[in-house]
Amino acid sequence: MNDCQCKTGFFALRDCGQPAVAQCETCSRAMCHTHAAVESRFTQCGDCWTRTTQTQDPRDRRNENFDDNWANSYRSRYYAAGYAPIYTGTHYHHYYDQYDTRSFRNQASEIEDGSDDARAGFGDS
Amino acid sequence: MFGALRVLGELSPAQRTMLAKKRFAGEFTPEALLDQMRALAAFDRSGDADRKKAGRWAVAAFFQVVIGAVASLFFGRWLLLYSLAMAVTAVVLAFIWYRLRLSDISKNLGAVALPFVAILKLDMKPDQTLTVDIDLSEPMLARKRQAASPKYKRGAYIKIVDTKYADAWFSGSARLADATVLRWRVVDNITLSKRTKRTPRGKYKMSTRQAKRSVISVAVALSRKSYAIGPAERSTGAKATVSASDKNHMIRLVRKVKSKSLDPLEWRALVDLVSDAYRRAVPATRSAA
Repeated sequence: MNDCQCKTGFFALRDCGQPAVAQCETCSRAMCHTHAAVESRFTQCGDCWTRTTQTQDPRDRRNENFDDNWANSYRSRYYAAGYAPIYTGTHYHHYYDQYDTRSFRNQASEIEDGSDDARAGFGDS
Repeated sequence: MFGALRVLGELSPAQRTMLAKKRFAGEFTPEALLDQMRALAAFDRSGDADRKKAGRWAVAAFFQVVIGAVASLFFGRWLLLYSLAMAVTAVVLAFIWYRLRLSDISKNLGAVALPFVAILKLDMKPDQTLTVDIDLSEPMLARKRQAASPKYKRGAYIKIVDTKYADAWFSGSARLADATVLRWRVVDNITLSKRTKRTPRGKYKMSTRQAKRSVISVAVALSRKSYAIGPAERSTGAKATVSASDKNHMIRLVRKVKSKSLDPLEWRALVDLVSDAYRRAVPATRSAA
């Protein structure tokens, strides 16, 4: 199996780089042991698990331990709110185009004027 | 009610030292740091709950002592035994309250530092370390006092004294996985205003007001190998300065957050400031092209 296709990071995303041990049933990405969601019995990656369990109001998901699940969940909401992280890896996967929809929508207007948008999506890396 | 004391007993000697000194400082891997912080934050949460219970029950037990003593005058001296038992209970509960009060730490640890480090962990390799210095003591201690204004009058208030405190409670640095070096510092500037006014009936009334201004400073040194600096995007309104050296682009951001309560700062302000710096970065290879 290939390397893990999940990305790690918050302010800047990078490739995980760990060897994959399974495939996510939802997004079909190869995932390593770290990025497989334990709660899904290793059938989903952390990103997909976060998306499926995320409720409308973030305060409902009160997590006083601030564990990895919480961090992934918050990352998802933070990106959806408009932050487009820089991707410093080399392993493109379309999963993050959708993951980052609102960010890319914001950037589209900047690209239209012909300027080179260096903060564009992972597909440009 | 003894849950907090049990948790206190389960803390490691190093954690108990941190509680005693009210200072959390050192160099840790992200996971080790989070483990320590979670343990202390959990203790603080249960300590707060148990302290409130112990305080309430201690007062109730004290009243039972008085009631038992008075009742013994009418219904027999055997009630003095009841009073004695209640007195012992009140003393034990007061001791528990006092012990937990001594170990009480700032809410900033669980409400600000913990989520911030949990976010930072995502941007760090497991073996990288970060340095933190967290002051867990109360913000308005004598050693944190900066200045006190002379007495003055304003409006209905015949005497106002403003005392200023500076609580530099959170600072640290970390090298991130993308070779960025991040430094941060949070200082809470608190003004405590004690005011006295005279009512139309001639009584003097005192009130206390407090205002907090948190100054969040972040310095992000982005490696020139990986990043260039682009135009500033949407900003959090922070003051920013950008400078460059041979190896790094240094982005310094300072933001002030005002609050009328002493509740912990909204931790997202710290995350937003760092992301504000990253919003100015562009990949070096692409900008060169």
